[in-house]
Amino acid sequence: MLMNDADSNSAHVHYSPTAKYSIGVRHEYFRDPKVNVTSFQMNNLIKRWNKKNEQANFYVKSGVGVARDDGEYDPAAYTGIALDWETRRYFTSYENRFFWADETEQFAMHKARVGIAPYVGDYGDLHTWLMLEAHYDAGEEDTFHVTPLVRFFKGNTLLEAGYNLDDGVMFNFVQRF
Amino acid sequence: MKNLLTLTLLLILTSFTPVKADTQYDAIVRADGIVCDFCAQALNKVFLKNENVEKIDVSMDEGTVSVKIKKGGTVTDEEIQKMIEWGGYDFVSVTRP
Repeated sequence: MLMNDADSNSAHVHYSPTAKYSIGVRHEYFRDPKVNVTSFQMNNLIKRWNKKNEQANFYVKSGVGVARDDGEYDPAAYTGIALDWETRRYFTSYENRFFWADETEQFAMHKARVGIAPYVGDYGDLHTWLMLEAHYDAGEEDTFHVTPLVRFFKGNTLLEAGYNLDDGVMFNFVQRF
Repeated sequence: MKNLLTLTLLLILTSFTPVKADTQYDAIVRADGIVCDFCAQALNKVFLKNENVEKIDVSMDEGTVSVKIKKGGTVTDEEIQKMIEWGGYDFVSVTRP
C-alpha cells in the first residue's frame, strides 16, 4: 500500500490472516518537520455490521516504532479509530490518529470522506468512486485540507488520485495478494 | 481447394470466438454485507483454500456466492458458513441446485 498526500508519503506491507485483524510494517516520511517513522502496525476489526445492501466497520489501528529526525532516533507510537459505512452507491468514513514521537513530533489527525459511485458495478468490474476528503492535522501548526479525488478499483488493485485545494497532489495505491 | 480454404477460414474464425460455457454451480450461498468488490475478493482466497472447491463466482447484485465443487469432493454447509464468516460476511443460507 502506497499513500501520498500533502503531509506525508508512506508505504505499508500488511498481512491479514482473517478479516478480523492485520499486522504489518509501515514506513512514513513526514515533510514538515522532516521525520522518517518506521513502525509495526496492527489493525483490529472491533465490529462489523453486515446488512443485505450495506456494510459498516469499526477498526482500531495502532503502531509502535522508531522516528528518525536529523540523525536522532526517538521511540514513536500511535493509535486511532476508523469507522466506515458503505453501500454500492454511497460511502462515508472517518478516522483519526494520535501520533507521538519523543521530542520529534506530536499530532492528532482527523480525516473524513464522503463518496458516490457514478455507476454500480458487479464483482470483477472496474469500479469508480468520486470522493471528497477533509483532512485536519492538529500539531505545531493546524492544517486543514479538502481533497476531491477519484478512486478506481478492479480485482485486487485499487488506485486513488486527487488534487488538494492547497496545491497538494494525493496518490494512493493498494495491491492485494 | 475451395473447400479447404473455407474450412481454414472457419477454423481461424472459430478460434477467435470466445466460447462461454455456463458453469453448473453446486451451492448457492446467500450472505449479507457483500457491497464492496475490493473487499469481496477475500472470499475467493478463502474458498480456494478449501481443497474441494474448484471455483466461486460472486454476485453483488444478488448477494450470493456460487460455489463449484471439485469432482468427487464434498463441502458441507457448515464449512461454507465458516468460509463466509472467515471472509468477514454474515451467512444467510445455502441452497444446492
